[in-house]
Amino acid sequence: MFDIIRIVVDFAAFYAIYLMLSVSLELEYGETGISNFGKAMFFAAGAFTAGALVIRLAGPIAGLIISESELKLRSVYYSTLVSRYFAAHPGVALAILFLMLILGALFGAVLGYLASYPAIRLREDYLGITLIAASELVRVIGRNYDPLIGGTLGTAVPDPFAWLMGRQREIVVSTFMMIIALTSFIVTASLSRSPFGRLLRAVRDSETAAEALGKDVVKVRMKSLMIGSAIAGAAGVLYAFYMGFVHADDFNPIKTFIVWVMVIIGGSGNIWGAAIGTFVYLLIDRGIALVKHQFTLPFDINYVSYAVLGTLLVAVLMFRPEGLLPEKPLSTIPRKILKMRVKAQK
Amino acid sequence: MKNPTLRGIDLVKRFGGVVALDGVNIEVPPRSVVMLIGPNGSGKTTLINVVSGYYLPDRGMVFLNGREITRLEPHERFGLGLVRTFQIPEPFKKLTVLENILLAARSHPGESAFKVIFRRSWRQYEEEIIEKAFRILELLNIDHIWDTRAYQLSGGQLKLLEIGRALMSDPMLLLMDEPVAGVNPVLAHNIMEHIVRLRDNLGISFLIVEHRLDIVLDYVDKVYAMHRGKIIAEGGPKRVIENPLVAEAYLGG
Amino acid sequence: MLPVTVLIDSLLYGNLITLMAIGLTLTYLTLKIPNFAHGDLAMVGVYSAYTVAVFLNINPYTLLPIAFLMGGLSALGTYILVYRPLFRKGASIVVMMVASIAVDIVIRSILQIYADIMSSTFNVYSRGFLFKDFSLNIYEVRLPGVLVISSLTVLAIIVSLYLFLSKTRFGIAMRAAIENPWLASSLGINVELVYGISWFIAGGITGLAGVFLPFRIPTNPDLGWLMLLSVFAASILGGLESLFGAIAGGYVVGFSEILGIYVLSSPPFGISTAYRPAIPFTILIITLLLAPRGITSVEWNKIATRLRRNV
Repeated sequence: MFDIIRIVVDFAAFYAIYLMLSVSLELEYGETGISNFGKAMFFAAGAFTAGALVIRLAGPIAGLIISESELKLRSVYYSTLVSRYFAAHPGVALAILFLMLILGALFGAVLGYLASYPAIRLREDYLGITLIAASELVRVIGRNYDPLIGGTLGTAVPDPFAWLMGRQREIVVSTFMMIIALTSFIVTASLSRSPFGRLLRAVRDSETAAEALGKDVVKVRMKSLMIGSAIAGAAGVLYAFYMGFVHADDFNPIKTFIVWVMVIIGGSGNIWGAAIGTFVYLLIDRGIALVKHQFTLPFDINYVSYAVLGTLLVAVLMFRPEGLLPEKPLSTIPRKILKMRVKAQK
Repeated sequence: MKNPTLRGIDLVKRFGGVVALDGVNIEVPPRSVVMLIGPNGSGKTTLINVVSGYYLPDRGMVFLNGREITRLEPHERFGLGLVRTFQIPEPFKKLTVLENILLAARSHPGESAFKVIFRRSWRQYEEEIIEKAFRILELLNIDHIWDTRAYQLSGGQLKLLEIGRALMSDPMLLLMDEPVAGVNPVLAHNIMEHIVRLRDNLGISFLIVEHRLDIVLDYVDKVYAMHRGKIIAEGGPKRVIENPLVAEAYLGG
Repeated sequence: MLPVTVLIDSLLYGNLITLMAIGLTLTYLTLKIPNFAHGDLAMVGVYSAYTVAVFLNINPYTLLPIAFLMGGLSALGTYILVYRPLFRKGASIVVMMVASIAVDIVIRSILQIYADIMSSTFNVYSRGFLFKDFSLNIYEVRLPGVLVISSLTVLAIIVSLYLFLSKTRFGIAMRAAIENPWLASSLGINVELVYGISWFIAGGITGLAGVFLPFRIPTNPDLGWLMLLSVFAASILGGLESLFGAIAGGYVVGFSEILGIYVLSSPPFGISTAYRPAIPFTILIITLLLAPRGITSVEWNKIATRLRRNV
C-alpha cells in the first residue's frame, strides 16, 4: 500500500531542511535569546536566490537564449531544458548547486546582518513584531515583483541531480541534503559547546552583566543572527531544489511558527532538542499527510493537523516549558576532567 | 605628577526633576582602596553607574588614568581595565558557577566566532583560566558548588560569585557595589583581606560602596561621604567618620 | 482631485482598524503581551453573525450583539485557558507570544474546519462571502450604510469606554489594576477578574469590527490574520499602551493604506495595488525603529538638544 522507501527518502529530505531551520533558531533564540519571528524571511532569502539565479545562470551555459520578458511565463519550459543539460553535464550541475548554497548562505547572512539592527535595539516583543512584518514585506515583494521569482506565478527550479534516474536519484538527493544538514548541525553543536557558545548564553541570561564583563553585546547578537541566517539561507536553497519550484507565498509566518514549535517542543537551549523536536513535528505532520487519503471527512484534514500542533505547543509551554530535552550545562573541557580536578584538591 | 587611576570631575546626573548627582568630584589614587559611604538615596549607586558607563552624565567628565572615558560603552571601559560588580547580583542564571567565572576572563580567543573553529587556538588558554577560576572559587570558599547553576544559588553565594567574576577579570580599577552585604562576617573579612592583598601585590585600585562600616573601614585608605548627590566629606576613614556633617546626614536621612 | 469614494473607503477602513486596535491595546495593557491571535477574534465575530444571518435570514447589522458576545467569550476563553495560567507561571514575553501564535493557529484552523463543514454539509457559501448593504444619499454623495453604522459604532465605543473608565467604580478599579497590579490587589481589587473583563470587552469590540468586514472585503477565515499587522501598526503608532493613541493610529493606518495605495498606483508612480500590504508593514517597521514607544513618546526636546550639540 505504502512505498516505504519513498516515504523514508521524502522524510529524510524534509528532515534535513527543517533540521537546518530549527538548529539555526536554536542558536538564535535558545542560546542567544533573540526572538527571531522572521525565520521564513531568511529561509526565503535562500530559496529566492536559487529561484532567481539558476535558470539565468545555467541557461546561457547550456546554450539557451533566455528572454527576460518570457521568463515569467515560461520558467517551467526553460527549467526543463536546463535540467536536460544538467543530465548530460553532472559537473556543471553540481558546481551550480554548490554555488547556490554559498550564495544562499551569503544572502541569508546579509539579511541577518540587516535584521541585527533592530535586534540590538528593541525589546523581545517589539523585535518579534518587527521581524514578522519584515518577513511579510519580503513575501509581498516576492509575490509582486515579477523579475525576482515570477511574482504570483512562481518559478521553476532546474534539477541539479537530473543525471541520475528514478529511485537512485531520490536516494542520492536525500543523502546529499542530510549531509549538508548534519554538517550544519555539527558546526552549530561545536559552536554551542565552545567559549563562543558560553558567550551567547551569557548575553541571553544577562545583557547587563555581559556588558560589565567586557562583552560587546551588539556584536554577539549580530554574529548569532548572521550564522543562524546563513544556515537558514542554505536550507532555503535546498528547499528550492528539492521542490523544483519557488513561490513567495510558501514563505508565510506559518513556516516560522513551525520552526518555533520544533525548537520549543524539543527543548530550547539544547541543540539535541532541536533535532528531536524536528523529528517529532515531522512525524506528526507527515503521518497525518499519509493517512489523510484514507478518510473522507466533510473538511480538509490539514486543518486538524494545524489545530493539533497548536494545542500541543500550548500544552508543552504549560506543562513542560523546558521541552523534551532540557538545557544542560555544556563544558568546553570534558566534565570528567573537571571533576577529577576538584577531587584532587580535596 | 602621576595621574589618579580614576577621576570624576563635576559629575551631574538628573532623573526627571530629581538631581541624583550634583557636581561630584572624586579621585581614586593608584594602589588604593577608596570607600564611598552615605545614606540610602544619596547617589552612590548612580555614581558607580556613571563611572562604569551605564548612565551618561548630564555634565562632567570621567577619566581613567588620565584618559577621558565619559562616553565609552561599559564593555569598552572593561577593555581599559575598569570593572564593576552589581549591588543586586546579575548572574548568568542558567550557566554554572564555573562558567560564570570563566566569562570574566579577558580577550578569550575562543569567544571569537572565527577562531573558535580551531580548537587548538583556545584550548590551552581555556585550561589556564579554568585553573585560575578554581583558585578564585577556593579563595571564596565556593569551589564545592562549581557545577551548580546560578539560579540555584543563595543570595550570599550570588554575592560571592559576583566578586569572583570581578577578581577573574584582572582589573586595574574595581568598582564594587556592596560587596560584603549579606555575607557572613568571617568571609567578609577574608574578602577584604584579599582586596588589600590585591592592592599591594598587583596594584589594583578599588572604589567600594558599602554600608557595613564595622567590617570595611579598617581596610580602606580613603573615604568619601555622599549626601543628596554631593560629596560632603572626604579623607582618612577616621576623619570622615568623625565629621559631624556625616553623622548628621545619616541621622537626618 | 481625489474621488470621494477613496475618502469614504479610507474612513471605513480606518473605522475597522481602529476598532480592532482598541481591542488589541486593551489586551496589551493587561498582560503586556502582543496577542497574535487578536485578528481571529474578529473572524469569530463575523462567522457567528454570518451563521445566524444565513439560517434565520436576517440583516447582519442586527447581529452585532451576537458578534460582540462571541468575540468577547473567545477572548475570555483564551485568557482563562492559556494566557492566565502561563502568566501565573511567570512565562517570559517570548513564550507568551509563541503561545498566542499557537492560539491563532488553533482558532484559525477551527474556523477553517467550520467553513468547510458549512459549505460541504449545509451548502452555505462560506469563503469569500459579502453582505448586502443599504446606502444613504446626502447631497448627491452616496454614503454606504456600513460607513454610517461603523462610524456610529466607533463613536459609541469611544464614548462608552471613556465614561466606563473614568466615571464608574469598576472602570476606575480597572485602570488601577492596569497601572499598578500589585498596588491594586493590595487595595482589594481582584486583578485577575478585572483582566478577564478587559479581555472580554476587547474581544467583543474586535468581534464587532468583524461584522463590518464582509460589507466591503470578501471574507474568509484568514482575513483576521491578514489584517493583524495593520492593527499592530495602528496600536504601535499609538504607543501600544494608550487607547486614544490606538484610535489615532487606526485612522493614520487606515488612510495611509487606502489613500496611500491610491496615490502610489496612479501616475507618476504607477505601482501595482498588490503592494498595499507593504504600507502597514513599512509603517510598523519604521515606527518601531525610530520611536518604539509610539509617536507621542518621541522626546523632541532631547533630539533638539542633541542636534544643537552636534552643530
